[in-house]
Amino acid sequence: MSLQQMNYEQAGNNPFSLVVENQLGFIYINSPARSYNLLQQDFIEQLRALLGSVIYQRLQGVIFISAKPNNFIRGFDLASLENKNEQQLADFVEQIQSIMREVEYLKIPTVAAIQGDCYGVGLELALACKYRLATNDSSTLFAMPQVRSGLIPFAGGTQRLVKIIGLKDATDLMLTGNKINARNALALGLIDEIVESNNLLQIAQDYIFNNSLIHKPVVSAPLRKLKNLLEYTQFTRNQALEHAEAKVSHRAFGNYPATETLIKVLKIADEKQALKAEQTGFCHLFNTEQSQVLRNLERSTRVMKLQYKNLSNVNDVKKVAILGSGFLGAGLAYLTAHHANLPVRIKDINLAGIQQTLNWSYKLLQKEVANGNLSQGRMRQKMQLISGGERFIGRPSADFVIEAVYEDLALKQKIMREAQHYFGPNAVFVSNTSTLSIAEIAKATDYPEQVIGFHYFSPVSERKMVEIIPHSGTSAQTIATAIHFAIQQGKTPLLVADRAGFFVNRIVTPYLLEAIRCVIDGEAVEFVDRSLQEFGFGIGPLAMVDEMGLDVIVKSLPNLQQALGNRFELPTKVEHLIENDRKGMKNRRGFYLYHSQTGERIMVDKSIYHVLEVAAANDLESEQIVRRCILMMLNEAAWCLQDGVIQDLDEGNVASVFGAFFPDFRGGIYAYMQKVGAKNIVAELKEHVKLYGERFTPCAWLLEQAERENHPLS
Amino acid sequence: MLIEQKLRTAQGQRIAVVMGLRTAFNKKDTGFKQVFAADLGTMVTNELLNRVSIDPQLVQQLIFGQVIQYPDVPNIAREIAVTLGLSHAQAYTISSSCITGLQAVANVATSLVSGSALAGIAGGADSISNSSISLNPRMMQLFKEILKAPTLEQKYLLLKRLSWRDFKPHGVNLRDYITQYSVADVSEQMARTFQISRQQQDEFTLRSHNLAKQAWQQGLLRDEVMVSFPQPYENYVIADNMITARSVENLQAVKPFKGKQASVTPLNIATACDGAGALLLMREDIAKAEGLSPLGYIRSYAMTGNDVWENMLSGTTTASSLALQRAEVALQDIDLIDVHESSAAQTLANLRLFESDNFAQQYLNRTSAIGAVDWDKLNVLGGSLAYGNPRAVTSLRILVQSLFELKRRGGALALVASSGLGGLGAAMVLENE
Repeated sequence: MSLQQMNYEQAGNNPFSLVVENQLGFIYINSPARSYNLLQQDFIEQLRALLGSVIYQRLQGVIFISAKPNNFIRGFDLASLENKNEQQLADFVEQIQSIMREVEYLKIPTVAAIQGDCYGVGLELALACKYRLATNDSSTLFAMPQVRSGLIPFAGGTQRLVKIIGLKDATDLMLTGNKINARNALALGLIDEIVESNNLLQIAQDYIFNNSLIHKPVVSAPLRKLKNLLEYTQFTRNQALEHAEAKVSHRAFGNYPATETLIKVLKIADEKQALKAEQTGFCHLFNTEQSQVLRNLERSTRVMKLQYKNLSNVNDVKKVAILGSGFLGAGLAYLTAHHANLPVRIKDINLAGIQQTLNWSYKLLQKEVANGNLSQGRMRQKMQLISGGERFIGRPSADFVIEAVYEDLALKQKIMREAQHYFGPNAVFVSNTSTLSIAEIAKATDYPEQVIGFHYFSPVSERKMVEIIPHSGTSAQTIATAIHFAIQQGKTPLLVADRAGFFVNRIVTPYLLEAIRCVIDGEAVEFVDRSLQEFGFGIGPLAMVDEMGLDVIVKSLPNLQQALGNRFELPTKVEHLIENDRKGMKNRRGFYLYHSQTGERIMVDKSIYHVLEVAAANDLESEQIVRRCILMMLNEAAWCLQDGVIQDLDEGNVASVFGAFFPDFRGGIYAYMQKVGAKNIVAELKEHVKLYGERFTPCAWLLEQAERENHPLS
Repeated sequence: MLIEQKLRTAQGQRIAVVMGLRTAFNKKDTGFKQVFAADLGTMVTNELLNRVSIDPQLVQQLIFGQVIQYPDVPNIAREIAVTLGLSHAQAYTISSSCITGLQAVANVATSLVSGSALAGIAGGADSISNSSISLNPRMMQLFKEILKAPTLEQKYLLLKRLSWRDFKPHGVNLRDYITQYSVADVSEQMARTFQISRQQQDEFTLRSHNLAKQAWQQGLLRDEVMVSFPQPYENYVIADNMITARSVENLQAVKPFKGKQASVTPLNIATACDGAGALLLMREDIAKAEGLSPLGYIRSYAMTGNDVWENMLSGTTTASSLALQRAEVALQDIDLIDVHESSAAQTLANLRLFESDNFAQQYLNRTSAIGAVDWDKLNVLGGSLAYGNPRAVTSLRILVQSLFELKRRGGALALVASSGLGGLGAAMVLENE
């Protein structure tokens, strides 16, 4: 530890520092003034100087290791490339490709000792080393995420990854940008060995000094080599890539130009040409609108996370109580035990509910065990963090109390009052709601300043966002603790105003209702969904209704309609669906049919048209459907600004992508609004008022914006 | 016989039972059929810590009892401690038939008095549903010899020594090893010696069932029996499920173990079952400083041994006598008496021994009998005949049940006692604030 601290002192602005011990060079990575390692453009020069020193001192080997606890290198800071012209970009790529080559061609053994995130350029650096060791820690993850910024790997990674793990798996990793854990990385041949974290440095040294200790894969290596060899002929290469291309274009509808470029680069078998193609491809992509939009969105997300982190400078929560069980309770218990590592107590009069909650949490944790992210023993420990009982008993110990009973104001008020009575004035009391007013709930309690609202999205264990809703009397300490807890749970928090529907549901609901209206008007379910998927939504609106549960949406409408107007009116024919008990995925009846065992979506349930009493019309073009649905969402997003539901456009963008599945390459709802222009949106909305009714009436804020666009100087 | 016992620290602090808890006791292969003793113990200890909610660092010792061994988890105490994040606590497992629970409590109490730990947990867990079944060791040895034998002929000769009987799997044996007596055997012997009739035994059994049923109906056990959610969380267990007897006729319908003339039946001995229990013990001053209000305090205890060939289950009397002497109280001063009913015959026999001057002079180092037990104080919420008998937990149930009841009645002193197979006895005198 003292060694690492010393390096930190020496490092200054330099992320790399070389320490020599017994003729062995340790290159420590430590980005200054950051909690994680993110390389800047100037790392190239610094690394080159160190490599020079390594050669000059005739060291016997080099180990790359992070000086930060759970992080190898999280990637490259693309912000340091903004404002560069084409030529400067090209020079940069040439430089970074060449430094990686210099690492690769060192005549001495090199080891990347990886603990924690190893993404993007970090992984490219690791690939340039001769050996890669990774710890079995759950924070050790690998990814080539450039495609998510609309880019491709640019430090020779397209070539090295293919060489090391083969074309098929490499293509997959680069096209999806998915994270994989050490176990999967080992299976792919991406790393040489998985080690315990406290042995990492020792084993890395063994790799350099004692060849006989090197862990050699038994059978798979020669086989893998043979397989990889086959992929080097132009013919097999093209075949494989065309297959991958077909799969991707089917999913992305041509919205992601980076994937096309990537496949083009991969098709080139000659290494020199391929590197050249990587360079030109990257430079070209960097200036495309899609990449810029995606990078902006990423930056917003990062800034937002940092801001919220700064807002939550409070002590850790010690123990959580969840009042009420069910799916939501199970998700919360799982997140709290697994991600936040906190004890959680479920209280519910209904014991079967607690048992079900424990069972669901158990299954979620078992899945982690099956994926190799958690050992059986640790799973047992985590599972014991979750306990339950039918009444408050013993000494109250929870300092964070979450109510998760069903949406009923009087019930929530009663539960909160009882909870405060038992847990006292120092705990934070969270009410979980998607429709009710937090102020109303808090009003009935003894310590309203301790009350705050949370709105999780279903399924809780998978969705990244959580809306946090303070009411006007919530104390700053309570808000900070709530944000802190959400971050501990691994969620991205978003502060929203205590207005009906909050933010995400508010922009989503009119959009979903409009999609349903399209079906009522005689459009086919799969056509509506496909139209919006082509626009870029990961999931079609009607499939989304099935996921959220039609009953839940319908139940929330009267309240929303009363507070916000007729944009939230239930289309009359939907009542047929409710009578027909179509709750969606939950009961495997909805717009789609679901597999009775696995619950997977199979196909459209044709009987839906009969239930809705509609005849197929198919009058609309795909764009018309998209326009109808998106206009409702855009208008509502504008309403949200008018009503002050959210503070910041960037936050709105992030929330629309993570919460409402708005296409990321469009940069979020407000970025898209800006791009289309208020004037155009208002014109379209007015047109739709004539065609479909008053619900399309543009809100005052939009009209004002449009006016401003008309007279930019006034 | 040594009478003087120091159960106070040098500063005069007593040992407090801060909290005690158990799972419901369930018949073999019912509510807890999918879990092992370690899981049961983890469940009850977790709930205990949840209710008391003290700094876990205070818990420096965890002693658990397990009588029905499971070879994969030889030290369940340690598994429980680590699973619950108490890796810092020293933890070991003991086995001492029906007195195991009290022995665990005595061990923790001794550690606390000597200042070796600030707080400790004593518990017990047994699973008859998931006890281990092993192959006959004789057969295993023979197989090894066959493998080692150099010639085919020798192998054949050895093989011939195997019989079908050797293939029978070896289940749990609840008999005493030296005497090969089961509880039923000893009970039958004691019933004969003390002339306790079938009728008397069945009536006593029914009393136990009725009192236990009443206790549940009045909600008296609600605070000491937790709701259990055993893995894989497909069911939950609220209540004991062996309290069934309705009438003496009911009980008399079954045949005795040893033919018509005998009196001990499967219904008038306590049945082995699944369950777990745990107690948190702490020095009085630490408990008070932590803002806890203990259930009660240990005034004295006695752990004894007696002859095994006759009256093997008379340890209740032997240990009670010593514990009372150590507490310097007479039986009449005691407000509640809870003894382990391993069988009706055994319990009734021990009640006779309490009254016997002869036994007192011969075995207890007393000039006269301990005294007659007042039935209004005896096992007032029922006993093991009704609740069932998970060996390692049974005496903990008694201890917890007695402390809660003592508090409820506002009594001053309670005596809990148990005898165990192998000629063991345990007793404790407990006191209120």
